Amino acid sequence: MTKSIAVIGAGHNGLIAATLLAQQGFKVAVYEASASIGGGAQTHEFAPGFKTSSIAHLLFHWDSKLESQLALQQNGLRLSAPLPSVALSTEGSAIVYDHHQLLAGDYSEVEAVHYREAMLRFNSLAQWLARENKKIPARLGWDRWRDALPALGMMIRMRLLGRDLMRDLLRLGTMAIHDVLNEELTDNRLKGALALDAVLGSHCGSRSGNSFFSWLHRLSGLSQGGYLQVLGGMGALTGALISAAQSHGVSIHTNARVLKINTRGERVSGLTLESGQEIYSDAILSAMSAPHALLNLLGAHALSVEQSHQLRHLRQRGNVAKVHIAIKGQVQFHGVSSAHQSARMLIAPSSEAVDNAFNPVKYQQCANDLVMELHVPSVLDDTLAPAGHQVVSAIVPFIPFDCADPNQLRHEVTEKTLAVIEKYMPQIRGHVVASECLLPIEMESRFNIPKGHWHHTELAIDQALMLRPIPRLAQYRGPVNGLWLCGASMHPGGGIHGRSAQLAVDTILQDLRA
Amino acid sequence: MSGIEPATLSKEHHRQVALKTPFHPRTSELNELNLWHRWRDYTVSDAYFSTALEYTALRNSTAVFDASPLTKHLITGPDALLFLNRLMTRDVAKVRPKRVAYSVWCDEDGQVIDDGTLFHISDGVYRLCSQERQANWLHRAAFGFDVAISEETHQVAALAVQGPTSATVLIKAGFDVSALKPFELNEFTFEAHKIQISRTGFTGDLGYEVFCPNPVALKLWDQLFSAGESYGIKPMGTHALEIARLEAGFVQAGVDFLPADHAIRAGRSRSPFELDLGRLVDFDKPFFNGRAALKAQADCGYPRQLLRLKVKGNKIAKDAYLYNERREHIGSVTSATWSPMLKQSIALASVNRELWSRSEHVIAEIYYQKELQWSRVNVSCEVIDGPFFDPPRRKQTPPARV
Repeated sequence: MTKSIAVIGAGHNGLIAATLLAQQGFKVAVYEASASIGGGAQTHEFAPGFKTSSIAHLLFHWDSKLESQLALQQNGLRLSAPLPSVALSTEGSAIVYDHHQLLAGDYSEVEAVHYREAMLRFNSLAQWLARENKKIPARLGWDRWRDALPALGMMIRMRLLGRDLMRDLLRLGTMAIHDVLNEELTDNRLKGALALDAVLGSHCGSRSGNSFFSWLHRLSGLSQGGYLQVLGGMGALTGALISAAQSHGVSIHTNARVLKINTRGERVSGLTLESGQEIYSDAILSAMSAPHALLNLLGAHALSVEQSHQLRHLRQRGNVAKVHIAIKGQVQFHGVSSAHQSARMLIAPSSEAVDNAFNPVKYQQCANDLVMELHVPSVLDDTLAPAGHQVVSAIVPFIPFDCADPNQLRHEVTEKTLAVIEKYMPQIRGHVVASECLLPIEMESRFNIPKGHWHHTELAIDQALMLRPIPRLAQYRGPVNGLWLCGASMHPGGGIHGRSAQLAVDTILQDLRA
Repeated sequence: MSGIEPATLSKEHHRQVALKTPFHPRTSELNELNLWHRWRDYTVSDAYFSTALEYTALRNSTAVFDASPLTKHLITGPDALLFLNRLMTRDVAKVRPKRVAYSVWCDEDGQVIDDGTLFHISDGVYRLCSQERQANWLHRAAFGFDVAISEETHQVAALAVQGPTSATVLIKAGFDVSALKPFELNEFTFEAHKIQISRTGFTGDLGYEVFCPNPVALKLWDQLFSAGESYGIKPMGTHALEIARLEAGFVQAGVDFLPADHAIRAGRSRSPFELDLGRLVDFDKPFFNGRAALKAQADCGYPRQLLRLKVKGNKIAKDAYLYNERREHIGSVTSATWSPMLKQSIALASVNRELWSRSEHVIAEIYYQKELQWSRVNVSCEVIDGPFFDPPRRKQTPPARV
């Protein structure tokens, strides 16, 4: 008999898992709370004729193997070539770099050598992490000897890095990116951009412990092929995922918010939707954040005291806003050649500036001198803006999630963002046709991303690998039979890559065929 | 939910090394030996006039033990039953109002955190008494349940009134307990306060436990002692109780097992099965903490086992090493005493199940001292099922009157 699997959440992880399961012959239905599909990977029109990726705007953990496994190209996915990054500067020229070397700008030759050599080491560490990110994490326990093998494997792979790199990993793993960069580099523009790279999407500043690990996670993604732009915006990726899912018979239900995961005895029996409808299902895969799925949908009565305690104390505090600007005509970034206007732009004058921008958000305030990542997708993609016009998509970190007056905060963030961009794009004010600001709280209310956090739960070393989301649940199996978990709160964390979905599906197949 | 409300503690309480129970004015007067020890926050008597005679009172008339330092929690609210059923291994839904249940609760690995008695005082109102402090664990476990937990250790006084004439004494004192079956409780009004009397105890004998608010504690004591005067009522200290609880075969947290939340090393804590409390684990009830681990133990076995031993000879097997017939070390004694009722040395022990089978003798290696000279003796032990001492009067309802 064909087993039915209900997937909660039609974000990219839910869709990828649904398709992979359908490919294995399961009867799969996906339930999505909102009216639109895609979660963090959507495109929307924010001003007449101007469209943008709603949340994530570039891929940087993309796995081309998954692309062929789901036949995404045949389903309409078009990706750009890898894009470099640019550390913008008000004086002199900007520095163009990728994750191997410095590419253009007025940096010193010595700095270029230091950067190349440092990145050689860091990329080796990132490749170690990338390998771990493709594996089901070890289970921490003393009761089953076979649990020791994956943990042992991880340690052996760490040891195989060689003496110096292993020492690097153990030493740098919990350090602040600020201190690591100061060991290697001197150029403030470059250190600022790299520090921002490290902390984007995490609730930490450049001087916070653990921020090197957060950077390593980014580098582990980049080692797959750099930053890629989806033509048509992130919604086009979701479009390809939907079409792949449907071609395998997956049914997708929108406006179908799941209120409850039902259990009978020791196993799941199905779902209750907001409409009151009850869905019966042999198995359930949640692509929601683990704390939400387990504490709110399954309920504390089905969790151990330890699990509910750990789950509700996971750190999950999103701080990233999106600002979208519709630009009439063409404007260019100061100090960046025309060839690089399509690159990923970073505004962070120094590592200290990143930390200073972070500090106020600890106290629910918003810094005056914001740092941000900008991208002008319309340079490579003419479907996003009317001919001859442009769209700027800004990822603005360190905006408080909790706010008394969202309208006031939205206005404040938009103004501060424009004021910062103006320093690097002096003509912009005169060209702004429309703008939009999505606050962290709207990431939750509009896109169902809990606490607006990119990774659902903070991706730090104490909440990573076999500790993610909590030690006893790190192998994608839920606390009751028939329930599995994937999504950003599971190993290896957030980002548009679907790795947790793939690993969860591997686990499901293992368990159901055992 | 509220934590400890130290209503009866003065602001200067932190200057006190140990608190005095509400019965202290009486117990200190009666403590002729001036033997005291610390039980949690409180000072309590080891023995009052003679451990042997206090024990004799327990088995022949009535002995009164001041149990006020017992950790006590009041658990109420719409989800009280759901909360307790998730917490405990036994089915709390079967504990009807006015019933008392002995239970254990476990961590997620199925290791016992503590044992205690749950009093279902009235519909949905529970009192949980435990050996160890549990406020932190209970509050942690309360997340997601509409339940109120308050610790009432310092507000409620407790007396164990135990022994063959205990029912008579209580009835003479104005509390008609004749209808109470074992593990039943009833509420009485005393000096305009509600007090609870349950037919429970830690002695394995006919006996009752009385819980009353602190303000009426001394009055209650006086009323019991005047009613019991011609029925041989005596105060009893911890030493006599220890003999009685071992004869009854009861385990004690921190002595016969290490509470799971105190254990650092793997294998130091115990599951209910390992403590011979498997009857308290119910897999037919809804999910409870430690269920999966306990199910695995029920299906595949568990590493250690609690034994009740009758030890040959006259030596008390305190801390003795235990061997099987092949002289392999299989475990050790956790509690031991001389049983006056059995005229026998008895012990509770924990052994490795892989190295010992039911058909085998257990050999205890006992070290003992005579005039400062240490000697060693190896004696064989008989493993028994159930309590060492279990008189019919414990269960007889209505209880015998004198």
